[in-house]
Amino acid sequence: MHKYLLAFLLLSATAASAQNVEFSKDQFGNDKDGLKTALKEIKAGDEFYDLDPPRYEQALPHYLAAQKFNPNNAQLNLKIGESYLHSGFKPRALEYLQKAYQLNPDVDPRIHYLLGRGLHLNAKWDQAIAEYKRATPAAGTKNTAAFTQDIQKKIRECENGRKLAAKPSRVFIDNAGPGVNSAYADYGPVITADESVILFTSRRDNSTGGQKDPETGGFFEDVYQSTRTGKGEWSPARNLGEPVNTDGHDATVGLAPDGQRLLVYLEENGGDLNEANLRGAEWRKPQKLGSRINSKAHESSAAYTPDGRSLYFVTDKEGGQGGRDIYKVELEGRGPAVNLGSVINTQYGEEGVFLHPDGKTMYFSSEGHNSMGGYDIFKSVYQNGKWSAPENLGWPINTPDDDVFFVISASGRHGYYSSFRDDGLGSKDIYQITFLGPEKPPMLSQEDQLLASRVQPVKETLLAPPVAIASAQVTILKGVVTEEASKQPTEATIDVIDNSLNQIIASFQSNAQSGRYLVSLPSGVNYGIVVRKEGYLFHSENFDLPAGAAYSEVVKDIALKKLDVGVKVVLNNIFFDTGKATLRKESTGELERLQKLLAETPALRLEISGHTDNVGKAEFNKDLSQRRAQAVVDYLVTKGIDKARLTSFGYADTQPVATNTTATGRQLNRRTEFKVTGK
Amino acid sequence: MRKITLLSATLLLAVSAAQAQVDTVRATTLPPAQLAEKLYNSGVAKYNQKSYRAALQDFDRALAAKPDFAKAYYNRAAVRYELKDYQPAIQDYDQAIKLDPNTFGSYFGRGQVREALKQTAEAEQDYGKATELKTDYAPAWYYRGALRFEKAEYAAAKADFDAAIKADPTYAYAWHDRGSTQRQLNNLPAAIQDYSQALKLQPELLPALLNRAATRRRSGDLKGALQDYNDYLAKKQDNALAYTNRGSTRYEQGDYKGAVEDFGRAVVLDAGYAFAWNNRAAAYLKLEDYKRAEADASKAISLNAQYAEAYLNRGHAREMLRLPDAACQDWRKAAELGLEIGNTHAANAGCGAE
Repeated sequence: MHKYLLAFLLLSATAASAQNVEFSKDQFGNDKDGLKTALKEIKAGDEFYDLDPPRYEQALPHYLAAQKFNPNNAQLNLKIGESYLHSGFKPRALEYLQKAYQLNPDVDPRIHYLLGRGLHLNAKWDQAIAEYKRATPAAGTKNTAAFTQDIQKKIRECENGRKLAAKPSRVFIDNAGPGVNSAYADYGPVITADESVILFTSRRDNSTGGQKDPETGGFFEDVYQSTRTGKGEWSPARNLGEPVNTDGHDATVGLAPDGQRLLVYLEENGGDLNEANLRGAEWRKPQKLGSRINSKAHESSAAYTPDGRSLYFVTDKEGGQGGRDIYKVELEGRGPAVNLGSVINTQYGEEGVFLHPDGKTMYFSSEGHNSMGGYDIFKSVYQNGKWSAPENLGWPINTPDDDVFFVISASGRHGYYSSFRDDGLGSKDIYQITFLGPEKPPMLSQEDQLLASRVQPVKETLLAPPVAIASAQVTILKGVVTEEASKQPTEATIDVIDNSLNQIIASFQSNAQSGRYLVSLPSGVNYGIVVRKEGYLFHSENFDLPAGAAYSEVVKDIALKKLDVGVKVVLNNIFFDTGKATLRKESTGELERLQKLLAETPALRLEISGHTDNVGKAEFNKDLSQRRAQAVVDYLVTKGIDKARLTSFGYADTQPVATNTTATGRQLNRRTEFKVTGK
Repeated sequence: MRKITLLSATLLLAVSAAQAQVDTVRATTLPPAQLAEKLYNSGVAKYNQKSYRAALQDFDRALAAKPDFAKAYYNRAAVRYELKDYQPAIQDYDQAIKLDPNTFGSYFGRGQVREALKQTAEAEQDYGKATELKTDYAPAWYYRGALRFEKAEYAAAKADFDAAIKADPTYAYAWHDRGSTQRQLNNLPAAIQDYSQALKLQPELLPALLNRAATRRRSGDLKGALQDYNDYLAKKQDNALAYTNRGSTRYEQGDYKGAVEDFGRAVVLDAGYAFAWNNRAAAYLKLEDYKRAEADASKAISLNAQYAEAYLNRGHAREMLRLPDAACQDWRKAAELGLEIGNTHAANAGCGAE
């Protein structure tokens, strides 16, 4: 009985370790047609495979067709494996490479290297290292030193991967859904700071011109846009059309936080960066970004700083740290672009730069640092005049394959990137990463009967120590600017002012059609926000955001008023010392705006009024509000405004604009205002 | 509960019996015509036979015969205490104290009755008076210590337990409770020593094993804690609290499967034990079995709608089950119930902003 069983087991084992089967008449004499078709497929595949450089993705379908006929040919398995290694679905290479080796250990001198790659891409770190160590340069390899360096780097990557995968990042990675993704490649997502709009690159079948790229066989790239619906899903994407999209490749690489400026990559001059502006609902024709950014080298990705005044971009021009590097350039200046230096840039490639709306956190991809293979996404923070050591975003965001073009929302809660995954809708898809933060420790309860003579146990809650919470330190201010009389959205200029320096940090335009605006206000500044438009009275807001203030999103719709008698405007950026009528220096900007308005409109007459909340004695409030109003008048008079044009009045708490029962309401009531009394 | 009542009764009886014996001796030296004393002695004998109603009648008659018979009041009070007839018991003690203010036993006895009536401040005063009148009477120190412990006056409680142990170094309860006091004062090694001494004196004082386990666990000696829990559970398998606390220790050791098993046994023993359900939810969270975690936390909440920890844990489970709104609700409810960290979780998860 046992003897038979043993014989059966041996037989099964022999059957499992199949022999190499050649595509020959000897093997397939009974199926001549099948053999002929298979050989034809192999030949068709070889035509792509043997090109320099090989076109693996085009070879692959032919090889797979032949494989159906004979799955036990070592060479074919090797070619399929190698083709998969250069496709979107690299992990699939492993099973073919392993089979090729099993069928014939001498199938190719590079087999251990290829097996190393296959294992590496499947995150089998230790086995990959073992294969890499067995790898030898192919016969005739001229640069064995480069080969050795490559092997050493890949082994380091596997070691990094092992460490990073041991402590996975807590994230959800979700397909962005059918509104965004298609059966074709969808990638390069860029978002507005509030995640209301996404633009991305796609090679789907309704591309502008409808032509295919002869090199890859896919449709040319186009830029698409989708908006978030009320249910949190993405609306069906629409092709941005001309003039952003052309018959050739048009790819998104960056979007200003307010969504009004788009950075587009075009395959000109070795690869250049262009900028398109949104006017109303229409994107204007992309314009070249100029020679301080574009060179004959390959400029591939870029990101605006939140104030829109600088640009970070990637180029492989000479003079860097090696490979592609990240540079920064002041858009309004004349100075050359500056390499970010060796803390960020490595001898390997850097790519896909993105700047968080807090203005100090940069995300980028790199093949260097502690990458676990290919490009990994890193994060670095600019503090005290330098960039912090890049931090790998970790497994499973990063994989052994390339992870590039990552963007993150202002809240820091969601990231977006593209990836090949099994739950994709076809080819590469865009995914949303939800960062769950550090593990939230569960809480246990326990009780003990602490007194021998008592029955009642004493409760004790076992509390794990609190965890550090990383929160984005930026406030997103957004809303719609309208004309008060017509209620219609309007284009206006929004100045962001640092009150302590009395300097305009950035200026933006609200969208001409929708009136929408969005500004990022990194914490640590007392901001004055001034919305202005010719022929209208300016509107001012104040956001005093102390350093470390956590993320918040403030929606503020602004109605601009025409200069008419009786119109009142609150001067939100006039500050007094507590309980006094002394103007603080942070008020200078607002006072200058008021003075300018009076100087430009000679017939304009104003009543400046002071208002308090209902806290304190009425007499004191009356006096204080009067003196404060007078202080503003006095300032204007010293600046040359005829005092006959100005009156002052202290209303104390008699004209509240909000309830006095809440702190917020009282703050709104404490204000300085002007009223047009003549024009 | 049974153990404590028994203990109280034993102590009281010890005091009463001591008095009664002296009286019996005295009675034999007195002239035979003394009716009150005879009835008194009969009452003592019936008390010792636990014939409380009959004893009560004897003491009633003794007092009718001799209305200033302080010891008869004292013993009738003891009988009334046994009959849970507390108010009349207090009146009798009051009378005994009035007639003989220097007998520590009346104060101690009245303290016991007042404790039974939950008049803890008055009970504490009576025990205090008893310790003044008889400094080497360990139970008076002990009971005052226990009251002070319950008021979280741990330093004062410790002083009382110290005095109880000084008066009677074999008093296992005093060692045990001083251990608990040391634990509350965060003198963990001293607490462990005291529990050990209590166990040495009275090996069947099993709560000492549980408490030593909890203290060892708190001091980071998870192995020692587990050993104590194992020893306890080898002797007694009907205690949901013991399984729950061993489960928590296993959880801290990272043995989440073992923890789930223990919490499971606890809920089989006592399906109404909310802590065990909550803790099993926590262990399931660690095992990434979020559905079960949610179900268990929900069960804990159904048993106690104010259970903050269970809301917090259910919030975590619901976050992982992709129910963000429900998770936010749970975290906020936990914060409302006093766990401020719930608000942090809610803010960090973008609750309200999505």
